[in-house]
Amino acid sequence: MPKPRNRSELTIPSRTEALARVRRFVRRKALRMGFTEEAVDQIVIAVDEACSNIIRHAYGGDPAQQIQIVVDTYPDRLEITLSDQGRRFDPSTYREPDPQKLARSGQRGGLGLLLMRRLMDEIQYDYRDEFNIVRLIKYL
Amino acid sequence: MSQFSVSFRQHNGVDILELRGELDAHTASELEAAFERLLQEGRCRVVINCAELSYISSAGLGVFMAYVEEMRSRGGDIKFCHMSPKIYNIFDLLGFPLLYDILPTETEAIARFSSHAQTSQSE
Repeated sequence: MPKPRNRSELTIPSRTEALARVRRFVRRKALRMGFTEEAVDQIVIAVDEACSNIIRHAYGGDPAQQIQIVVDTYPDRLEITLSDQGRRFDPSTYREPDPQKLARSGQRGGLGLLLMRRLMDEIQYDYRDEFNIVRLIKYL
Repeated sequence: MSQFSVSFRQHNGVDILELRGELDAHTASELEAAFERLLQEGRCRVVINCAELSYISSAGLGVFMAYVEEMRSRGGDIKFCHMSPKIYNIFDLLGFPLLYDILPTETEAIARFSSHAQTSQSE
């Protein structure tokens, strides 16, 4: 696999206070790569959702944990890789919810992963050395 | 840190909540507190003015999802206005414009409550 043109890293505590910092970090990188404003918004929300899921589900709200965010830029795409050491996520167990059914039932959860899938071009999951690794990819 | 605030106004028996800033998993609890306050006071006709709302994630959407049915079961609703294309796109991506009333202006959103009341009375 070719090396990225550029790599940036950010490590945050698993606290929702840190989400705004993540959004600013990812927005800067995506804008610099030449994505449209609409595509930048989509990338930012997807990364926010990924971090929020880690904080809430993988770490169960434990604020003492960490999330590493690596942004790699390639000539044709942006890849954002998030790593955590929380509860293992098995993507094969995921069933895409019907957002309208969720809304009608008054449930508030379940939309984060759906949004990520609709906003990004590719999502890859891996579990290596006790790390959950999720990679979000958007093509220029 | 995310900047977010909710301010309240009333007009013709409708509560108007003006949202400012970024509504995410960190700030969603402020919106939740606002809805709890309205329910405790028995107020269920709500217009969300999104003119100054610059960001929303699923955590913010989840608050509306959690409260809209409660408001409707009490004869009210949550309606939205002044939604920027950026915010509307997220609602649209999930098919929410079919479930929620989204109006261009606050006046139209408030008027929708009286038109619904008249329709109910004549039925």
